[in-house]
Amino acid sequence: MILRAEGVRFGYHIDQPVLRGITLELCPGRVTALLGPNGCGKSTLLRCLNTSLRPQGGRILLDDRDVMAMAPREIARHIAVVPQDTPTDVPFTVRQMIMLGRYAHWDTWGQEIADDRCVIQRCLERMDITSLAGRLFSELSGGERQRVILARALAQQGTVLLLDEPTSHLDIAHQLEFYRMVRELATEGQAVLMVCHDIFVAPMFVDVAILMVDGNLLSCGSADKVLSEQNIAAAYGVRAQISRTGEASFQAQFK
Amino acid sequence: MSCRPHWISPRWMISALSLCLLVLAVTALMLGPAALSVRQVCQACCHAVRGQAEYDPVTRIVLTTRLPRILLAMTVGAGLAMSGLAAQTLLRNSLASPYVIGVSNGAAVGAVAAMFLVGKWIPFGAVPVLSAASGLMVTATVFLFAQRGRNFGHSLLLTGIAISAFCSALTAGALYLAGERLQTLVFWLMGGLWQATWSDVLIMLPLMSICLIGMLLLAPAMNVALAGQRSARDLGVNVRRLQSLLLFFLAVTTAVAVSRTGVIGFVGLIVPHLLRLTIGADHRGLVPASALGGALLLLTADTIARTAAAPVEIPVGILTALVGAPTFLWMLQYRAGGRAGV
Repeated sequence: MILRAEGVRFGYHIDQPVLRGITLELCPGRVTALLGPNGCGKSTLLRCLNTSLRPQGGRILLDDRDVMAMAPREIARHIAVVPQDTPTDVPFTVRQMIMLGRYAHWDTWGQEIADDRCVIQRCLERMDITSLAGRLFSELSGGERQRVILARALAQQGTVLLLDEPTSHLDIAHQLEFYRMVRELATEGQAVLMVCHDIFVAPMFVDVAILMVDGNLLSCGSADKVLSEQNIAAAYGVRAQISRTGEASFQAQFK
Repeated sequence: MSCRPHWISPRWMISALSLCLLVLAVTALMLGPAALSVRQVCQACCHAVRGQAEYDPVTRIVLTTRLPRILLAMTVGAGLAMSGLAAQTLLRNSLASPYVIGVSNGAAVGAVAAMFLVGKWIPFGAVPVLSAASGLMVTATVFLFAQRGRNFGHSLLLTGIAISAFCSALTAGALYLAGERLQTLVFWLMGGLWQATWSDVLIMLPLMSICLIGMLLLAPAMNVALAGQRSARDLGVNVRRLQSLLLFFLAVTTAVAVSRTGVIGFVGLIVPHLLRLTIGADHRGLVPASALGGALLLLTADTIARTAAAPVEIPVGILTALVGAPTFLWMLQYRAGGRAGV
């Protein structure tokens, strides 16, 4: 399914707009990176996309259906979110935690059905965390936790995946692994939007990069095009010298 | 390193609690100033079913004195424990009790005010009604104030504490001015079931059942709510509706329970907390287990309260805390030995 935002506007206070009319499109099979300096409205935009923050202007469309008119449950069946931080004091095992992703598919009494267990098993295997299934979520490491949350998002069986700085607590090895998983999910048909601060590693794994500044889109296109010296200077106020070494990797020197 | 939690299966726990409750209920029917045998109790029940209650003294003791009291203890205990669970989930804080949002202090103010008016303007029967109404009004006030805050759970807790403090100041003032009514007021505030009648049971039983069914329906959403307010919304829960419904169940059950039996502490805090440590946090098991556990705890406490120092009756609120607090500490220590609590 295609998720489209048209002229989305939002502000926490009436006189301080955070999003000033954002238009973008997320297509199945593509990973889109949402880049930009702190406080430019990336996370706010992400939360507007699944209407957990209600946009004050514009429209959010899922294959031409208005997302703002949908119930939270129905939205969760299509759009899954991996938040920046998850409370760690949740008294659930990994399996129970992933089971929460099935909530949107349950009937009134919340009976687990065989289908749920199959989905959970697949998600566990997909994220390679079958061995953690019986452990307590609160006792996992940061990297393991992030995988559990991604597995929970997969258990929603949606078609759009929104990731909010998913790798901010991960070391470089886990970051690479996480990006590879996300890449694979996109290949399987997910439309992925990933908010990130990482302008070095993440661009190697994305199809489209969007650079946001102060509630507006500055540039949109391939990572090479978007992460130009002028754009980096305009967005972050940092002078960079960029040299491309391989096909998709690039190096930058900051002055 | 073994990190697997040592939880007991909820089904097993619910069966065990039901069995204990049944045994204890029959035992409680036998105990009292006139000790009865199992056979007498069974006969009395048979008589009651056949409608021959008036002539047999044993049947009358069982039916008019003991049975309503036992049923009231069970329903109030279950209601308080479920309200405690609702409060703990609503606030994502396992230290919350149904009283933290000001229901009990509100109900106390209403009751104390009503007792001052009794005899002058209103009949004695109006005390519980005024008390419950005032408890509900206070909760509604807390809810309206808290709704303006961005973090609903936090605002609810803070507003609740502030308004509770205000109400308890009013109650304390009333006690100070009470004069010869002081003992009645103190006795009421301590909580007890000695005035149990069938009309109390007929109010509490349906209320508790509605609360139980409502919370069973909300159980999956309550599970998701434990993952945090934002995540819950992302996973498809209508968070505001869940919070309002939980608060509604909590307020109605607690306000009515307090208006009938006074402030019985600790049941609402300890029962859901201990059960969460024993069977895990899945509300589909936790809701019925809490109801049973609360019923069991309050029935035990009340049976001890009326028999231990007979003919003097110990206020049951004192007992629940006296027995509950050490058990609670022991459990916390015991659990901390193996693994950290929740």
